[in-house]
Amino acid sequence: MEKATSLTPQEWEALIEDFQSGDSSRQLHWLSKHSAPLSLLQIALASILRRDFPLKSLVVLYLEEFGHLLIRSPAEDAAQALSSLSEALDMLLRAPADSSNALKEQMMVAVTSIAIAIDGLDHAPRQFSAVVETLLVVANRPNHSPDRQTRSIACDCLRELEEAFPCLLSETSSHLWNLCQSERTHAVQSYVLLLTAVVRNIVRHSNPPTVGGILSTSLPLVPFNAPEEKKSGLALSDENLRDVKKVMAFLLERPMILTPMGIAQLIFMLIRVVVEEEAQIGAAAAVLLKVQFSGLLSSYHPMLCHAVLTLCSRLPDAFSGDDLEIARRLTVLSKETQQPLVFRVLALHWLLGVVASPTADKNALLISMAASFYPDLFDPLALKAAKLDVLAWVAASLESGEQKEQVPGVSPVKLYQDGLVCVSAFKWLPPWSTETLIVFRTLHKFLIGAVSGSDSEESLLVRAESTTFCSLQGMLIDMVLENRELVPVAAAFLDRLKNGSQMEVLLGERLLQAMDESLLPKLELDLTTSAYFSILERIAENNKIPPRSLLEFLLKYMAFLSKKRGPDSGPRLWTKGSQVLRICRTLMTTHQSTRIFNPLSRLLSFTCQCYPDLEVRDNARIYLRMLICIPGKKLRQLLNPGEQPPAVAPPPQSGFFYEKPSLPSPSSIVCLQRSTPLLLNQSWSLAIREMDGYGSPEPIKDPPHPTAETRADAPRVVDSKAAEILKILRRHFSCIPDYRHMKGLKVEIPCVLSLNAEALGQPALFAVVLTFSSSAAHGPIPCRRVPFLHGARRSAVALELEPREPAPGPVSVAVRANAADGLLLSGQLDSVPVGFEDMFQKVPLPEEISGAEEARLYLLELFKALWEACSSARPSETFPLKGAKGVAAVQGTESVKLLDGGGGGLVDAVRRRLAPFIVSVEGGTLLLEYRTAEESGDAEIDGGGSSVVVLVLIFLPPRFHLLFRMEVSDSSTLVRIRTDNWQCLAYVDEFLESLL
Amino acid sequence: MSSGGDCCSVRAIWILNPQDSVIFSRRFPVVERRWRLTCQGAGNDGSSSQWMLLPSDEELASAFSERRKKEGLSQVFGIRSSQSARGSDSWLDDPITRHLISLPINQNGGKVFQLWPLVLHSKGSFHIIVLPLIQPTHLEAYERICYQSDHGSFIGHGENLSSLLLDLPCITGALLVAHSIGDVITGDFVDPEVVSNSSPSVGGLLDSLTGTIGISGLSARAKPAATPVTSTASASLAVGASAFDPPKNSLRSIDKDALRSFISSSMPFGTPLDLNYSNIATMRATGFPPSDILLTDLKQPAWKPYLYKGKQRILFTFHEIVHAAMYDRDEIPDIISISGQVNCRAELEGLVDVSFPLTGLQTANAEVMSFHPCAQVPEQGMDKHAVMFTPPLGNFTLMNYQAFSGLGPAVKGFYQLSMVSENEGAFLFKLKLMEGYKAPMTMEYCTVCLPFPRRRVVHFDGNPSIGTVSTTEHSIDWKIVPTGRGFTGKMIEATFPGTIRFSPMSRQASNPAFRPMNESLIDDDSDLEQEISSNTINMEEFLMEKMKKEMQPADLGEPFCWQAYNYAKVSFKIVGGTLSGATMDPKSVSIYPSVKAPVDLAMQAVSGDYILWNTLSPCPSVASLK
Repeated sequence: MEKATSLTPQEWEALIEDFQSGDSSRQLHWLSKHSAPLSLLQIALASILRRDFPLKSLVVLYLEEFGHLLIRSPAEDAAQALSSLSEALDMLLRAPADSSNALKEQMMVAVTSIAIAIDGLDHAPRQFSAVVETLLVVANRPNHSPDRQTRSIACDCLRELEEAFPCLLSETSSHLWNLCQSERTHAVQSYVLLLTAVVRNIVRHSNPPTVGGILSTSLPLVPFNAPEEKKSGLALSDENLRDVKKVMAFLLERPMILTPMGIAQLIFMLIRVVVEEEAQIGAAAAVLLKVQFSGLLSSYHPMLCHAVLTLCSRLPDAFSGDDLEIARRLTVLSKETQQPLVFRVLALHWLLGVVASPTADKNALLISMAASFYPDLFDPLALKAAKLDVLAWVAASLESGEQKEQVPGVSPVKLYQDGLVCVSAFKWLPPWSTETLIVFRTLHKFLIGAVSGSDSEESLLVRAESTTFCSLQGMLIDMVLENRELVPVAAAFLDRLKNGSQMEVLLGERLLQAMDESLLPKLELDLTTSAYFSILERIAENNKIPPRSLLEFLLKYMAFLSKKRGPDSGPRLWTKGSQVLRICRTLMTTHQSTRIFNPLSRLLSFTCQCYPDLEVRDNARIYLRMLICIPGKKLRQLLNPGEQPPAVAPPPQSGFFYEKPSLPSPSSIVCLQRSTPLLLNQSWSLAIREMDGYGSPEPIKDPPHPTAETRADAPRVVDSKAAEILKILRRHFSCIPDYRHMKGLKVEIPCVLSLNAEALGQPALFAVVLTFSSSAAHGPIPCRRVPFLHGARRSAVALELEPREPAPGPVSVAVRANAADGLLLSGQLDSVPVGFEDMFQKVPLPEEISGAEEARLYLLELFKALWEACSSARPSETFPLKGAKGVAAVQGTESVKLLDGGGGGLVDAVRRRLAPFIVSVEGGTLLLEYRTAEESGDAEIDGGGSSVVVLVLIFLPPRFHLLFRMEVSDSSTLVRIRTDNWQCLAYVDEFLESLL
Repeated sequence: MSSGGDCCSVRAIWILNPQDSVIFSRRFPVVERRWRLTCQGAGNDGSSSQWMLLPSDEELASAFSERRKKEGLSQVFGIRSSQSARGSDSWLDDPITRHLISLPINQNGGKVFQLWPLVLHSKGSFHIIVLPLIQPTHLEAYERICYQSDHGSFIGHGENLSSLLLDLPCITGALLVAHSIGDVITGDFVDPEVVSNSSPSVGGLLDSLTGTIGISGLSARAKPAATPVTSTASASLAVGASAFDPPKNSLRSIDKDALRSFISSSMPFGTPLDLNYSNIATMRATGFPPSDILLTDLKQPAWKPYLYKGKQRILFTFHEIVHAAMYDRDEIPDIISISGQVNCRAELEGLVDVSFPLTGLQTANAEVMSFHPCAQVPEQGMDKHAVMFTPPLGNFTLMNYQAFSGLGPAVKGFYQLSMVSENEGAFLFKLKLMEGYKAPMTMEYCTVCLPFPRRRVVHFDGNPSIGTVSTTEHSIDWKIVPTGRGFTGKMIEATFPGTIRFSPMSRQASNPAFRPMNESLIDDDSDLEQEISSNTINMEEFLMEKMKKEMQPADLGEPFCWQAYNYAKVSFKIVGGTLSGATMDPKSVSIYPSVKAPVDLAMQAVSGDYILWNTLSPCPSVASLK
C-alpha cells in the first residue's frame, strides 16, 4: 500500500471546499489524485490523530459528510476502512476526558455515518460489530457525570444504526432498558429514544431477543456480535407483549422530560408500535397515548401540535369526538401573532387537511366557526388569503347542501362579501396590487366552491344557475363596471378559467355569457369604454356566444366616436377605431361567416363610409372585402395571426382548404348552361374506334421522305386548272395549324354559371373551380375558375375545346367550391352538350388576305377548289400544314339531301344559322358581309327569285371541311354536300332537317 | 401509512447569500441512504426515476436564481398570476409556497427533476433552504397537485396540498430547523424579555450559569440585550415606512463554525433533536464539570441540562403588544387587540414545579392561549387559570395570549390631514392619553409619527399643545411624552394643528422588479387618464390616482399596502399594568418542593401597530360576523 502523504491545512481547506460543493467532478479531482483505495481516508484519520493538527474538527466533520465517498468500492474496502475508523475512534476515546469531548462526539458520529452509508453490516460485519461495540461501551456508563453528553451522542449513534439496520440491537434490549431506567442526567432522552427504536423494531419485525425476553437476558452487552440473519417474522409471545407494554408504560410515564423534537420522535415511533400490534396492545395503548400527549396541542411549539395531529389521524378511534376541539385549537393557532407567519398559515392548512380527511364527515365542523376565519386587520396578506380559503371552504360546504342545519346569517355570498372587506383596497389601488390578486384568487375559490361536487357537465350547469354562483357572477360584473381598471385583471381571470380544467372552462364560458348579457347593456358610451375591450375581445373569442349584441354595441360605439370628432381627436380616433377592428377581426376568426355576416358587414360598411379616421376606414374596407370575398375557413386561416401571414400564404393545396365534407348534390345548387341553345340536341355521338386501319379519318401524316419512288412520281402532268386548284389548296392548308406541334384551332362554347342560393342556404359560393372532361375527341379542355358566385348574379364561362375530330358529344363538368360556412361543395354538374354545329368554324384566312371583298373572292375560289378536290375519294395530293411538319390529304365524299321546304323560310333559316359560312349566293339579291373579325357575319338573302343557289363553306376543326351547295326553290331545296370528313355526314342530315 | 418512523430528517441544508450563491451547505449521507433505499423500494413499480441525487451547490444556486427571475421576488409571490407557468409554485396559488418551494434541478447530465419540498426561510438577507426527507409517493402526489388544473377542487375531492402538509410533519420540522439556523446566522437570537423591578435587565441562560459555575468572560454568542420583544407587526411597519433601507445584517458574513457546531449538536445525522440554541451553545462551551451533581430521585429533563444553583427567585413579566386601528368614523368601529405573553425566569434550585393562578383574562375576552411545552395545560374557560409548570433555565415564554383591551385605548383621538392642493395640506390631531388609566400605570414615552414614504417634506408649520416636533425627509415625529418624563395617574390631552408642504411629485422611474407580472395590466391610454382627472373632484382621489402608477404591490407578509394610506403611528410604552387586565398575584405562586423564593412581577405594554387613520382618506378595514 502506498504511503499516505499528509495534506497541509490549506490543502485540506481546498479539498473540503471542493467536496462541499457537491460537484462530483471537483470531488473526483481529489479522489483521482489519491487514487489508492482508502488513501484519502487514511490521510484524514492520520491528520485527526496528529497532536498539532489545527483543523481536526473540520476534518472530522468532513468525514461525517463525505467519508463514504472515500471508500469507493465498499464491497472490497469496507473491512479495512471500518477497522481503521474504529481504531482511530478508540484512540480518540481513550484520550483524557479534558477538553476534546466535542471531538470525540463528532468522531463517533462520523464513524457511524460512514458505517451506515457504506452498508458496513453487509460488507464487513465483523469490523462493523467492533464499531457498535465501541459505542455500546461508551453508552454503558449510566450516570457517569462529566461525559453525559458523550454518552448521549453514543446512544444517538446506536439509534441511527438501529434505524439503518433494523433489529441490529434487538439482543441488547434488556441492557438498554436498564440503562434507560437508571439514567438521570439530561442524556436520558437519548437512552429513551434508543430503547424506543429498538423495541419498535422488535415489534415491527417480530424479532425478539433469542435468549430471554425483551427485558431480561443473560447475554452480556459486550462483546457485541451483529445478528447474522433476520429471523422470519413470528408473532411475539405473550411474554414479549407484556414486556412491550411495560416499556410503553415506562416511556409514557414522564415523556415531558424530552425536548419538543424528542417528544415528537417518541410519538412517531410509538404510533408505529401501537399500529403494528393493534390487536394485542392497540386500543389501550392508543388511549394512553391520547391521555399523555393530547395536552400538547395547547403548546405553542408547532412540532408538538403536528405530532398530536398525526396521532389523531393515525389513531382515529381514540380521538373520535375530539374533532371540534382540534379544529378550534388550530384556528386559535392561526391567530397567534407571536408565531412566525408560516406556522399560522400552516395551521390553517392542517385544519383543512383535517376536515378534508375522508375518515369523518366534518363538513359541519367549520361552519359554526365561520366567524373565526374572518381576517383581522393586521393579519399579513398571506394569512388573509389563507383565511379566505377557509371561508371559501365553508361556503362550499354550505353550498353542498349536505348541511341541514343552517347557521343564521351565514351564507356563501355573505362570507364572500365580508371576507373581501379586508382587501377592499383593490378598489383604489392599482390593478397590480397584491390586494387585487387576492380578490380574484378568492373569487376563483368561491366560484369553484359554488359548483363543486358536480361531476357532470349537466349538474355543473345546474349548479351554475344557483343563487350563489349567480350572485358571485353579478358581483364580478358590478366590480368591473365600477372599476374599469380591473378589466385587465378580470380578463386575466377569464383566461385562467379558459385554460383550466373542464369545469373551469365551462364556468368561464358561463361568465362570458353573463357579461355579454349583463355587462354590455350597462356599458356607457364614453371615451373610456375602450377599457373594456379586453373583455369584449374574450367575448368575441368565444364562438358559443352569439356575436350579435357585441356587434351592435360596437356599431353604437363607432357611431358615438364618429360624432365625438374634435380638433385633437385624431390619434384617439385611430386607436379606438383600430381596437374595434381588432375585435371584428377576432370575430371573423372565431365565428362562422354566415353568423356574423349581416351585423358585421353593417358595422364594417358604416366604418368604411363614416368613420373619420382614414386608416381605420381603409382597414374596415379591407375587412369588409375579405368578409365578402373569402370563404369562411380560408378567411379564418388568413386572419389567424402568427400562423400564416397572408402575404406568404402558400398556394392552396388540394385537401388543404377542402377538407370538410361537401354539401350533397351540387347539381341542384350550381348549374352550368350553354348561353345559346343547340339547334340540334345531339343525343348521340358517333364513335368509331380504329379498326383494322379503317374508318377513322385519314390522320395527319408526316411528309413523305423524298424517296426514289416518290421522285419517280414527281414529274406528274397536271393541267393548268388542276394546278390552280392545287395552288389554292396548298395555300389554304398552310394556314391550318398542326395540332400535334402547336395549338390547334379552338372551339369556344359560351356558357353561364348560376347558383341556386336557396338550395344552398347561403348567399354565395367562393372559389368555384370547374373541370371538364369528355369522351369525345374534344382535346384538352382547360378548367375554369370563378372566384365568387353570388346567387343573384350569373357568371359567364366559356367552354374551350380543341377538337381532334369534328364530333359532337357531351362534356362532363365537375365542380369544387367553398360555401361561406367553410363547407365544401364538390361533385358533378349536369354535363354540357356539344353539338355538331358547335364545330362549325370559319375558314382560317391567310394573313395577306385583307378586306371583305378579297376574302370573299378567296373563299369562293377556295370553295371551288375544295368542291373539286372532294369529288374524289382518292387523295392524289398531300398538302403541308402550317409549320410544315405534317401533311394532310383530302379524301372526299359527296352526298345529296333534299329538304322538303324552301323559299323564304329556308333562306331565313340559312341566314340565321349559317350566315358566317355563306360564300356565295347565285340567282338572288345578296348582301353578304363576310368578316374576318371575330363577330359573326351577317348575310341578307333576298329570296325573291325562283331559284337561288347558296354556297356554304364550313371549316371543321382540326382540318376538315363541309361544303354545301344549296339549290333553293320555292317548295324544296336540294343540298349537295361534299366533305373531306365522311364521318360528319352522319350529323349533316339531321342538321339540315333541323334548319326547317 | 406513508410516513416513516421519523418525524423529521433533513437531507440537506443550503444557505444562499443575496447574490444567490451558496455560502454554506450541509448534506447528511445517512438520510440520503434512506432516501435511496425508499426510492429503490418504490422503484419496483416503475417509478425508479424518482431516485435523484442531491444537486450540487451550483446546480441548486442556479435553479434558485432562475426561480427568482421567473417568479419575481419570492417575498411577493405565492399567488398565481398570468405569468405563472403550469407546475411552478405560484401556479399552486397558495401563500405557503413562499415558504415551501420546489426547484427544477438541471443536472449536468441534462436531466431535469423537481426537488421538493424545499423549505425556504429568508432571514436578514440570507436564504436558508432545507430539504427534508419524504417518501417518493409524497413527491408524486405533489407533482400531481402541481399540474392539476383546478386544485380548486379542495373540497374534499382528490389530493390537495393541505392534506399533504398534514401528512408531512417533516416539513414542519424543516421549517423549525430553518428558523433556528436563521437565528444562529444572524445572531439575533432574542430571549424573551424578562424585566425585574429590582435590576434593570436580566440576561439569558449563560448569565445565570456563569454566576453559578464561576466561569466569566464566556462569549459563546452575543449577549442578548434586554431589548423589548419585537413583534413582527412593528417590524413590518418599519419596512412600510422605509422600504428602501437595506435590511440589516445583509453584509455580515455568517459564523460558519458556530453554525457547523449548532447543526452537529442539534441534529446529529440530520434528525433534529433539540433546537434550543442556548442549551447547545452552553453545553458546547462549558461541558459538564465533575462537580455537577445529579438528582437522586428524578430524571433531569433533556431541555434542562443544567440545574440552577444560587440565590433563588422567580420573575414574571407580562408583556403586551397593543395593536390598534383608530378610525374615528361612525361606520367603522375602532379595533384594539392585544397580543400578550407571560415571560418567566425561574432561578430556583433543583427540579421544581411552579403553579399560580392567572386572573383577569376572562374579562379581557382572551381568546388564544398557548403554552410552553413545560406547562401543564389548565382547563380553559374559567376566569382563574391555574398554570402549573416545570421551569427550564433562563428566560422563557410561559404562555401566549390574545386579548381585547380591558381598559380603553391608551391613546385615543383622531388625526385629519386634508390636502388643499397637490403639494400642500393641513392636519389636525386631537388626542387623549391614558384616559381612565390609574396609578401605578405609567406611560414611559409616547411618540406620534406621520410617515410620508412617498413624498418629501419641504416645509412644516404648526405647534402642538404639548411635546416637541421634528421632521425628517419623509416623516414628522411628534414626541408627546419624551423618554424619561413618563407620567402616571392623570390624563393628558394633546392637540396639534399644522400645515405641511411637500416637494412636487416627480414621476420617478418605477421599480422594475415589480413590473414583469404587471405589464399586461398597464393600460397606457392617455384618454383614460384625462377622463379620470377631469372627473375627480376630490383632491385625495386625485393624488391617489397620481401616485398609483408607482405603487408597488404589498409583500404578502404585510397586512396591506401601507404606502396607499395616510396615517399616524403611535408608539408608547406603559409599565405598571397590563392593558388586557390579565395579571397574577405574586403571593399565590406556589413552588413544589416548597422553597422560599421572592416572586418578582413586572407588567408592561408597548404599542405594536397603533394606527390613527386619517379620517379624511381611505383606510383599510375588516368585517366581523356579528
